[in-house]
Amino acid sequence: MQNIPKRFRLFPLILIVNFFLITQSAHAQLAPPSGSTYGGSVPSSRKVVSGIAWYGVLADGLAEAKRTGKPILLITAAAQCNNVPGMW
Amino acid sequence: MEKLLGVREGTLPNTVFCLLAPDGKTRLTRPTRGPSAFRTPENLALQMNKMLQQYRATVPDSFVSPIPYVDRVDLALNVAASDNRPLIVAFGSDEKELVAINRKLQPLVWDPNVIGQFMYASTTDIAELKVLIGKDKSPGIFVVEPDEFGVSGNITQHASLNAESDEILTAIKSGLKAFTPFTKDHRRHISNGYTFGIEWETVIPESDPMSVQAKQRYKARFENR
Repeated sequence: MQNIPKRFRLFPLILIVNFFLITQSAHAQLAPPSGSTYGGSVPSSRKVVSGIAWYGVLADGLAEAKRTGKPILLITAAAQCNNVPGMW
Repeated sequence: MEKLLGVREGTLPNTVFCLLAPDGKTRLTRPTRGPSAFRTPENLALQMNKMLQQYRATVPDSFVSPIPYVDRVDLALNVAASDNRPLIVAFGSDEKELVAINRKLQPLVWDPNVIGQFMYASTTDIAELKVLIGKDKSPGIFVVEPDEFGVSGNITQHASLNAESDEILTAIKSGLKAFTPFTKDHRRHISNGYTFGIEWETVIPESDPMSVQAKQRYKARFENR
């Protein structure tokens, strides 16, 4: 992804951010996949890797944080690179 | 978002990482491009645990959070492909059916074996399901395996509208077990996207002229082949 001003090259219609609520003690996850891989799952593996339950809509996540009193991990990103979808 | 993260107008990076207080306004960390400031995942976990001590949950442990839906099915498909995860789509022919589906699905989303493994989308518009490939598109819950680019997805499991919670959970777990993540190479992914004409146009137009020109030059290499 390229660094550009007004880099809201995010989803159509509204700004979408990914973030999750810190619900309990955060355990470090497994190391990211090595090699020419991309994504959150471990390729060629039958093992289920612990995931993060992202709120994909900013408003929903903020509302949930207010309702539960939990702090927020906020990550914004565009699910496209050079206009090609399927990759952050 | 610019105001939230305290950046000048028009200068928000396209990836931002930040920890916020529950009010959604108070920054607990300086916004950065990623979590690398924490150096290691273990340190990030340690610092997050420290921050957690300052806050007390205002809901009981039995509280079930809402399903973290993405706004549209095609959007959720793209995100699922980017995250290399399967997608769950809840489809009802009307709002009443969707509410009934959500009531059964909501506690399952937070099941320890399911949490964080899926993206979620819901709709009452059957037209949104055109990106999904499968014979049975009757109301219910679909487990979807996105393609590499997140522009279509195969329905691998379907639980009907009248399915009980344990049937739905079985379908979800089966879909998760059968899911095979892609091995993606960044350069090849972009190259293939241009070769196959797969593009995602954003509603917010690109504003950086240098970036626009760079992309045009890159794409021209494929159009002239």
